[in-house]
Amino acid sequence: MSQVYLSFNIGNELFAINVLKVLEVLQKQTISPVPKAPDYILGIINFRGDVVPVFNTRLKFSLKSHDENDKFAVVVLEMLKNGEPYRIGATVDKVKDVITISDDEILPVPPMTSSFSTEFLSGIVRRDDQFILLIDVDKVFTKSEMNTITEVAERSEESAS
Amino acid sequence: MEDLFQKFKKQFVEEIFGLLETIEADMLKLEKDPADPQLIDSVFRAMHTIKGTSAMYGCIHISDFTHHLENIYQAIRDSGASIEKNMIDITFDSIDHIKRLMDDELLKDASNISRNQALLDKISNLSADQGSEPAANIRENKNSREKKATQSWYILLRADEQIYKRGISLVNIFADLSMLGTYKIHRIASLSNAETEVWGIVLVTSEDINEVKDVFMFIEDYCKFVLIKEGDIQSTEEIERFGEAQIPLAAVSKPLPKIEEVIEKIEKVEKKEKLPEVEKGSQSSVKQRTSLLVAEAAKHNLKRVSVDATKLDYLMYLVSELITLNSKLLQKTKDEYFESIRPEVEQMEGLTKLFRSNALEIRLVPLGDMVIKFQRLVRDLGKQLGKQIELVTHGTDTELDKNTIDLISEPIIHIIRNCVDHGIELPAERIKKGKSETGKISLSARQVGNYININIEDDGAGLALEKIQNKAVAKGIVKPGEKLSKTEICDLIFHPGISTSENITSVSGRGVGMDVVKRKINELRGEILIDTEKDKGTSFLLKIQQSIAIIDTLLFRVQKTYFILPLTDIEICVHIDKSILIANQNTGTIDFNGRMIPFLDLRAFFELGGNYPKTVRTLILKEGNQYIGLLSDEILGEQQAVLKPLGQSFENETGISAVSQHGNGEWAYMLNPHYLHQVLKSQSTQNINNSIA
Repeated sequence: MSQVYLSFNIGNELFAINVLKVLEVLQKQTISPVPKAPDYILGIINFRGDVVPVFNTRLKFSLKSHDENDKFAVVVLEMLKNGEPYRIGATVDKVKDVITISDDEILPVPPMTSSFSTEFLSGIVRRDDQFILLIDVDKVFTKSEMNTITEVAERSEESAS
Repeated sequence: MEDLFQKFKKQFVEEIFGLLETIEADMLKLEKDPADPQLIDSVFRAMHTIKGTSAMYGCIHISDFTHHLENIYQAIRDSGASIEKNMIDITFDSIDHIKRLMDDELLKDASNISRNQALLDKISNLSADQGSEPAANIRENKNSREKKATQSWYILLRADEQIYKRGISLVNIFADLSMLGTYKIHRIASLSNAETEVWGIVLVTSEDINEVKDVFMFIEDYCKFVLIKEGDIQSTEEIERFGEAQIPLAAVSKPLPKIEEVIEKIEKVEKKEKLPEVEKGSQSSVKQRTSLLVAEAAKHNLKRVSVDATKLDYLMYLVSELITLNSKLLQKTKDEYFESIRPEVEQMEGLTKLFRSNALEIRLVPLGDMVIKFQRLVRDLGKQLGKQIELVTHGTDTELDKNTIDLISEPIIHIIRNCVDHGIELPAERIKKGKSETGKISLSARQVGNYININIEDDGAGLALEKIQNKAVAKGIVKPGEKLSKTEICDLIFHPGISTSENITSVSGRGVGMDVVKRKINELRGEILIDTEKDKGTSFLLKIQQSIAIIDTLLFRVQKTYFILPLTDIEICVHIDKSILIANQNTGTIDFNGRMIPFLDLRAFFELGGNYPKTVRTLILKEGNQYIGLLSDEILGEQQAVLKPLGQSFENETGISAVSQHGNGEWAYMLNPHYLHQVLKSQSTQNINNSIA
């Protein structure tokens, strides 16, 4: 069995998401900020008549937020929560490619010492001397998860200072 | 058959649920008046239809089950006895069981199988008491019936104009007859005005006479029919008598054929085609008749149409897209360059508005549709807890949007459940307090402008305010010793984790419930107010907008952010000089018609940056008799807003309840006026009004 993935960059890392979860990649999209919205939500977009929140993925990976001049794309994903489909947008620095990955290529996630937790990764693939991190979409973009991430970021800031 | 079943299944399910609801409503009335023959008859008829319809769709288990139940009611109806209490309970259980069977047509679920048997046993015990044929014997009877020799009947049917006005199609009756055996129909006579007709039907069947009579059960009120056994037809006189001289037999075009001939013909037809066919001439007349029926029915009786809800949702989607497009069009043709098409654009706007309000109206459903559900709940819970409770309703013809009805039902159920469980006391306790033994819960609804007020009130013990506060202190929600007003304490019950009852019951009391109510009401952008008095009772007032998807709003702007507010909440817009606001910054109030009213600096509240212009456009909002002012940079005018929820990523209350896309494609944020009022009430206004200078 092999599945098709969409790969993209966030920071220096290369990630991939199962294309079945991806509805569309938006290159030039105005994101309207929502007053008093949580930090991890950049704003909202109109996607096929629906309001879709856009999550700041860089915040998730403890990277510097996008600058106004930074180019980025929005990947619109459809997920299930309590059996109900819902859509979110996630920012990525650059969309790379659509790749086919066979199941036996996928390696288990080793413990990593990097700044982000490995919980939301479903596996790792080695391609052309580069590691591709496979993201488990249903784990990564839940609100509670985003909350803990920001908390963690705050705590590490505190301890650093 | 399988395909046909799927195709009509939806319709079938709706019909059965409708009938079950009728039975439930009748049963609730029968509980008070167990001897009412009309109600018993109505229950019987509904059951009979369920039996027939489910058999038609191949749901033999439902049909079989209902058959047994129906027998009891038939026996009661025929004997004129009254319904006994245990029978009502069994009937309610049976209704629930049939509902479950609807999802388990083939009776595969183990719990359903055992329940099915248990209920059938109960029913057969009942029917033994009633002296009707015991349920257990029914199948045997059926078998013995099949062995019976065939008999032929001559049926004379006189259909009056009533039947057509009611839109009853005789075709269905004829179809039912065809299930009994072979039959042949011919029209004997019709009056010149075509309002009354006499049909002659030859039926060859092995079924019992009662089965034949059953076919005509639904039309017996509107027509006359006689069953004449073959060989009993002595002369045409009998037929003439039946026509009651209004239809002289001379008008009959054809002489009545001999019955043997008819049978012979039927058999011939049968050999050619498998299904018994109506004679060609009369078939076309049946067709004519049917189309006439449809027209008549449309003229007289069909005031309501039932439409698939998803079609309504799609209609709403189209309307909202049209509105959005229309406001874009208006925006883009503002330039003088478009002068020539301006009238058409404006005309289109007018039409869109009419279209919108019409589409919204179509979606309105009376609250009464939900009431049976509530009544059943009160009855069942009351029984379970040993309390006597009556649910009284007023104004249930008040209409709400279909989606709102769906959303409001759950909170109302929670509230009623709370009233039953915690509000109403046990009968002994009520007597001690000098109240009537039977507790009362009233549900009333009325329309106030664009809002619907739903009031749920019980005459029970009232909220234990002290206990609630103590609990809140214990849970760390409120500081010890803090002085709270009655309303503030009441509001505490919406806090997750606070329950009004000391002991957890199966009904409620786990502390979930009231916070769900609050959340649902917030979702609807409504509000909920509680009032309570010790030993007098508690009342819950829900204020909900009639339609929540598309409303008339006022569009305004602060910095680059657009906001909207429902027009109905805005009292007036005034211009206030910035210098006055700076002077009043300490008190956070402005002068409005001689009143001091608090104002909210949206720029500071939403951290939007920038400065207000020299003249600050201030919107004055009214809630009850409270006024507040909202500061803005510019007011852009009225806007039909198609509201979209922000979604679950924005769970925390921020004062923004929904968004809408306006003319130039930008989002406008819908403010929740109630929330803003609360903010100004609770917070020190100085903290949030600091960007004016």
